[in-house]
Amino acid sequence: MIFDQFISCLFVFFLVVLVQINSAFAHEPIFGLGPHVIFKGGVGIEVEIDSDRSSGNQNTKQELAIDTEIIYGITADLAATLVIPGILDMVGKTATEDQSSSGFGDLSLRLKYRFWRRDRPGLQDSAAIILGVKSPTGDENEKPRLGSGSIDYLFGLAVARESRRWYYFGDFRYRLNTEADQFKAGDKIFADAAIGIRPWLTEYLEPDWVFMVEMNWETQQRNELFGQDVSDSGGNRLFVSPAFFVTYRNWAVKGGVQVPVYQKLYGNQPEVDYRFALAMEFHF
Amino acid sequence: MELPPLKVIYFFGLLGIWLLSDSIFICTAHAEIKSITVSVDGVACPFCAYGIEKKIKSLKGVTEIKILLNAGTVTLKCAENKCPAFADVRSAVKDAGFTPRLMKITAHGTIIVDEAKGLLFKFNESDPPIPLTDLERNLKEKALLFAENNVRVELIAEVLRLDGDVWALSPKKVEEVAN
Repeated sequence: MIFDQFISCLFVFFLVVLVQINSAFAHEPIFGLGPHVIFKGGVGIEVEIDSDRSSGNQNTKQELAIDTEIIYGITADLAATLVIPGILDMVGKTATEDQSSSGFGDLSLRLKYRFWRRDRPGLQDSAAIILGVKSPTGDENEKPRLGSGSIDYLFGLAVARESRRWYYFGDFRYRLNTEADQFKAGDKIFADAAIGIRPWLTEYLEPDWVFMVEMNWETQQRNELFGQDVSDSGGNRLFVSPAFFVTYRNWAVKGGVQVPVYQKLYGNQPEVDYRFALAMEFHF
Repeated sequence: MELPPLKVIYFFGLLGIWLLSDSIFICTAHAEIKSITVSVDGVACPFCAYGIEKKIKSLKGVTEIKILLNAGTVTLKCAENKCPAFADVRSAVKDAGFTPRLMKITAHGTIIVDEAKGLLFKFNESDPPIPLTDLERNLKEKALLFAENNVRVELIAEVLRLDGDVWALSPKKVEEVAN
């Protein structure tokens, strides 16, 4: 009986633990991840507008979405995040047809555990593991598809040094994609590094600005269809991403642009032109 | 069986609620502490510091909070006759995700001399007095004089945790409170 309850708790724990991509906390990289968690019992709401555009090889893909994130501080070092993606407009254009769709995307759940922290006056070093799961809630019958149709997992490690003046972040993430309807998107590896500066050392209850530059590396394996590699899929990308944060007490506004500086994609694929994100976050 | 009059039921009912409520316990908290200042390590950004504000403000008896990021301190002011326990203040900082270090208080009370324990600081009649330790010679002489004359004083002191919930105060300043 107790064993069953333990297994149930463990199952729920890992279900909650596993989540998706780059939902961020203020003062963390916009496109990468950091080890920040929210205070115990704290709730954070983040609304993020993000967009990306890819083009080339007679293909254009464009997406505009509003993602809502709900963050909860289970303990001072453990936070759960629910990500609800709302796709406002997803466009796919080829030489022969134009497609457009909108609606809810794939829901994600993430748990971040800050397993190490060293505090000194005006300085915090920390490291966290991130585990996530993405559920196939997006409509797969829409064209373009709003969801992958598969349950995908994310495993990550993030480290940071945050001081009053400088910020340093680094993370490594692995997204394990699973098969659905004989199709499997290639697994994805992310590696990010970021440096940030607070030009003005403001006090509490003053608007606070931080500027950051990120380097985001992405490697994706080839997709598989009926167990065979899809030739026009997978590859490597490197982005340089300037970002900003402005916060006041428990409010934050942040934004950034991902500019591709290197893309080596397999076969004929559209290349990313840009990605941007603008978010507002509120803690209470 | 005949029930007692309604007024009696109300009286004892309200008395019971009051006895069970926090109010009776608040009176036993450090009643004459005016403010507590905690040095907090790990606070780098104002947005992160909001967690400290939220957790400290949730403690009973806190009327005001001031966070100084560049100094790395959090100062809370206490309401009349109630102030959170030292351990609760430290827990609040930890729950916000930071490390509490040195804690200082400003308090009103009297200094008494105990033959066995030495100098003690008495906040009020209900709280147990807290030992005074690490006094400089001049300060000790001043404190003894105040104790002898049973003068009400304002004390600025570092809070030292001796063991578990056993605390001591290391005075930095003692002055007579003007009536």
